Amino acid sequence: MHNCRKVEKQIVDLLFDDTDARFKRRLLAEIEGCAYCLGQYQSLSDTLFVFERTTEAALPPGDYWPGYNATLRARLNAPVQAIHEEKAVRAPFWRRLFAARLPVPVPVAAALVVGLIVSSALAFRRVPAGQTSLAPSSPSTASVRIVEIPVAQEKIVTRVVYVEKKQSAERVQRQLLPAVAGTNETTDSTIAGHKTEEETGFFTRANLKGFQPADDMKIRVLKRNNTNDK
Amino acid sequence: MSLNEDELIKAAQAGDRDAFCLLAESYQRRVYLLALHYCRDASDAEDLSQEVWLKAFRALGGFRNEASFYTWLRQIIVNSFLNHRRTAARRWANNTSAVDIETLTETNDANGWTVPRSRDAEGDIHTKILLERVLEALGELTPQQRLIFLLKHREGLTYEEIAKAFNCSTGTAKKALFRAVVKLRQRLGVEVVETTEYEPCAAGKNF
Repeated sequence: MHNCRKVEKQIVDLLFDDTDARFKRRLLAEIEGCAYCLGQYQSLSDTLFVFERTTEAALPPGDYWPGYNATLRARLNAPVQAIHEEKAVRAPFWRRLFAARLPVPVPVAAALVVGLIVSSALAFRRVPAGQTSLAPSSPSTASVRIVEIPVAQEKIVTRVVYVEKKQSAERVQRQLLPAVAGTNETTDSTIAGHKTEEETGFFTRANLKGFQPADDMKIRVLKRNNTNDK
Repeated sequence: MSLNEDELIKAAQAGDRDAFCLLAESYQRRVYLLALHYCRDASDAEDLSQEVWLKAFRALGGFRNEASFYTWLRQIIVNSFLNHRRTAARRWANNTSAVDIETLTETNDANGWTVPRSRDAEGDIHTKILLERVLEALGELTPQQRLIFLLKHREGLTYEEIAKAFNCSTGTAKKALFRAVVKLRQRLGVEVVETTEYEPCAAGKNF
């Protein structure tokens, strides 16, 4: 029994002549018996016919091919040049360094060149007289001037005072006695006694005669660190 | 002195570029036409076809004469085509302007007057318009469908060979081919004329 779906799959084989002769005859007979399948077959055949008809027009004219062959020859020779370039790359480092190329856009390259020129011009520009250069070529020769500044001096005064303990005790007693006998007599005798002691050289108080204090006072705290000083 | 194909192949395998160019001349139209139908652009077709020849030259050392040179070359064609990054597709997609038949059927004579072309020239123009439509219709196919169609229709490959080239089953290759032809028919505007002489079969009604 005829089946359009099945035939449709086989139409492709018929279109491209991919069947044996016996099968082809049988299939054609079946297609001719079905309007739908025949319509399908004819339209698909026409499509291929249209495609085939344009093939000749798709080919370029005869004068196209010499240029095509020349291009092909050039492309075939291109790998040889590439091998030569590769060998050049394998040259010593210093040679490669000099032969190295860096693709830089023209505006960037122009800006770099201008910057280099300007900076070199500024660097080598002569400094006019009277202006100081930021980077002096010789060491500075500034004159030395001595200025005296008043400084507070520290003065240490040392006096050794010898005190006789016995006389000192008597003096304390004498000072205490007038308080018992009478105030006026004691005062006079005390002053007289003082004079006598001064003259005889037994005056034991600290003698600051001739001592002049410094203008500025400075306090120094002496600490006893040594245990032997006790 | 002309060399036969085997001698040219041997010379080319030895590195003789001239021999290879002579070898290429024998098949260059065929390869170019395939590339043109695949790319649908003349300059792309030139690039792609030359790429095929360059690859063939590099791989020629591996050619062992087990099959014909063109059979060996065809595998390179298929691989090159499938790997080809096409840029012309966008060009074709944007090219919606119709061909002005009036400008194509007229030409300028020596005095600068516009004169109608001859009848043959008109036929050529018609063919060229048809070619444009065919190429546009090919653009509707996927690259695989297009290549399968070209390999079957132009190159006459069997389904087994196509299946091997695309690493698929023969059934898949056959389906892709059928879809390709149906799409081309639709795009080219080929009408399906059902003859009234025959009664449609029962299965056809449900199709």
